Amino acid sequence: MTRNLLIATLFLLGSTLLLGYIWVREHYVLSARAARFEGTLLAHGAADYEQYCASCHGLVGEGGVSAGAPRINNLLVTLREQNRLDGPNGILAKYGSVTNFVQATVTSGVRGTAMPAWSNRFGGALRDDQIRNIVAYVSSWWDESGNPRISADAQNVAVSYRATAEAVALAQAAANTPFGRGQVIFSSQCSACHQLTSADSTIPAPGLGGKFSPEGNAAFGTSLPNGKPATPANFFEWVRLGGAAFADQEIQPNAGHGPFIIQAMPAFPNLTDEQLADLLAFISAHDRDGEVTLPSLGPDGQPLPEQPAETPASE
Amino acid sequence: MATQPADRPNTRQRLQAWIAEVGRSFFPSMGMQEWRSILRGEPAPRPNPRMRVHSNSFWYHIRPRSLSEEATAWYYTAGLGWLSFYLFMVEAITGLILMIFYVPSAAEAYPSMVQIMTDVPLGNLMRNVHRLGAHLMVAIVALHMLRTFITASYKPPRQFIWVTGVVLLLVTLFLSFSGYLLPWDQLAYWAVTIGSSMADATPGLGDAANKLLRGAVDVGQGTLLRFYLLHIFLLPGVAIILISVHYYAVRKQEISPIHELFDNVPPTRRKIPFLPDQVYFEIAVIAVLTFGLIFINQFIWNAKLESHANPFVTPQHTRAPWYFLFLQGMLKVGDKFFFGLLLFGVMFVALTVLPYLDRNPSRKFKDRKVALTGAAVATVLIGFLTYAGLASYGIQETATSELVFEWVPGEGEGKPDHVPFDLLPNQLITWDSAANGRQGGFVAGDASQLSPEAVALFEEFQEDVEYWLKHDKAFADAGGSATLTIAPWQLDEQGQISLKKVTLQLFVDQRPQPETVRFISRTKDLPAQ
Repeated sequence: MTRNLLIATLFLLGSTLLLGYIWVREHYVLSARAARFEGTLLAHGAADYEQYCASCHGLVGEGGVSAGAPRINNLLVTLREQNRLDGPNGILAKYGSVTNFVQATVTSGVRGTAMPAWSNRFGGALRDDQIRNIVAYVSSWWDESGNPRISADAQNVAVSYRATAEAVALAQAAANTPFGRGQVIFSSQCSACHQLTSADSTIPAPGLGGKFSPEGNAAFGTSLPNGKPATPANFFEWVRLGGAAFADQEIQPNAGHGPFIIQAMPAFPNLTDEQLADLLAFISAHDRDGEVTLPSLGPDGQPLPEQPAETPASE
Repeated sequence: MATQPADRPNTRQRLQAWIAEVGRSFFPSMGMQEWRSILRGEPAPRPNPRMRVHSNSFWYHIRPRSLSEEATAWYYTAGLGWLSFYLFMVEAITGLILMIFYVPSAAEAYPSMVQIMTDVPLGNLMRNVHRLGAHLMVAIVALHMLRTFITASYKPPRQFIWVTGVVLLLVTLFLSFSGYLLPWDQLAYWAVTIGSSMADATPGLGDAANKLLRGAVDVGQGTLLRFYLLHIFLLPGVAIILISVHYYAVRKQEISPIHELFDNVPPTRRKIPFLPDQVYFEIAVIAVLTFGLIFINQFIWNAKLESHANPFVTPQHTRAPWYFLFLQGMLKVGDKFFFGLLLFGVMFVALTVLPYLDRNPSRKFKDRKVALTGAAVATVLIGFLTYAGLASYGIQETATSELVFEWVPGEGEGKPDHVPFDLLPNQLITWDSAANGRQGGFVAGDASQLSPEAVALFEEFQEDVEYWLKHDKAFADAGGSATLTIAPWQLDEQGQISLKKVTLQLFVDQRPQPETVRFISRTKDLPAQ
């Protein structure tokens, strides 16, 4: 009994001392843990940036990789040069800081450009905390000196990443056929989200392979996500108006696909009839495996006449 | 006549009287004298005043005046029931503290978890104790049931204690499982998505049951609130009622005597008085266990918080909590309805009515060969099914997914994370497992600048690729190889490297596969505890 009393006293004293030790260190540990977490968020932001943004804005935000995306790794200087920063209608007056401006831009998109609204509140693919992480990563590039805080190695990697993308686009543009022109449009406007196979991308966006074949693509079959049959006219309407116009007519994707957010499909009001026809010619030629085995369709839904001399061979 | 000065109590006497009064309010019928004699270790006088307290106080009335020496033998019960209740109290106390800061909404749950870990003093400790305590409680309650079966304590007149015990095991499992979702991170989200999809298999009602549980088609805000209310209100309420019934019945029937298990062990009549022996023993155990819980959770174990739940990204090696792994294992054996739901249900119903089915009145080991063999087989089977539930069992692991999981995982830590940040390469460097005639070697960058730890890291990478070339035939047949690139990426305001990028690229049939990247932050080296 005395032994039990002794043990109890000793260990209660031990617990008190241990808690005291933890309590004294807690101030330091809390801030270290918070800094650790901040670092994790920056790393998550970087990973999300590469997944969602780099295909247009470049690996290190140098811009111009696709869809005319601007350079974003030096915004403090470029915005000042463009006279958009100061003054009564400047970004600082309206948004308070460039970071807020970028966050608002990523959240709600830029009308009339390929920049979609990314926030899931507006039909995009990202939660607001993911957007905050991405913005934290992007804004950590900016330096008043005009030299982005990016390592030389990262800049070299970005150059080769971009060169590969450009070489592919140039090779495709060489073939001046509906298929070739469609390929260029697809890689600048669509390929950031969509693949031309059965596989969904991580955005998430459905794979488009075989969309205009008799069995349709894997995710939605012969229907468009708005429930209409995949005819050329419905396809043009879908791409022009985007998913937001059909938010109330959503259909469920096939088993094993999705969930997709219908509003995540941005509107492309600036594509001309000819461009849409070229896009159709390119997409319709691909089967579910991503191979070019099907005939290119014209806007009337009939196969286009063969153009053997200029149609590029399938890879 | 004037009052005699001697009649007035002096300060010391008044203090003593006050202490005695306070003491009586905690220990009715026990005066200073009794307490002194207890502390001095003197034997109790007759009649024993230490017994009166049990009749006069609610809290002491719950506990028996004395326990038979047989029942307190550690090798008999191992105190597993007592330990379960201790852990239940630990969970209740830490849970109440966590509840102050936790917000049960899909948008706020994760930020409030981060707040508990990075902004609330001792918050991380409370969370660790709560989480480890939950794991321990499931294990101990399960062991408690196993012990009760082995010693045949469920036999008449104690059948009903067993029935409440089985329900309590179920309640414990679901208490732990409902708490699993609350951090709202990837681990929670996908473990619960898998677990709750079992309800799908209910014949006819699968869809409705699933929606009732999840509040929607997918795990979301509705599920979080339902699980929260189950976790803090319904299940603890049921547990408190059942524990009361369970313990009342144990008190009433007394703990089953150990001598009934053997042929030639005579019963002992020796008793251990509750006051003071048992009380001091229990206080000592509580002190040691509480110290142990704090120590382990401060220095040895730390509950992880993965990134925010994301329905669009399924992490690799998603799996149910360990105590439901046997269900996942059963699903690999057969279909969802029969092996998942029916077998689980039949198993629990059979366990519940077991004392009424078992017609063998003897508690002796030698008369229960069938029952004991059955228990051993069932334990081995559950152990095997748990092992079968692991991702590594029965599913061909592929080099492509396992190399990603070990080197650049989307969640948790990859092997490069274990090297201190400054010792990771400070210039871009690439290791190609196919270089030097498949011996592996650096193909880009200056290897002379590397720290020994970094070189060891790349050599380990080579070993891993060669391991998978041996174990994944398809990968080997396609002439698979992999490159690992580590590059400094982001700089901070002082021009110091703040992020490094690890890129894994696999080659199959000479064709490059999509790259997998992972960013490593300098802050990862800061202490977490």
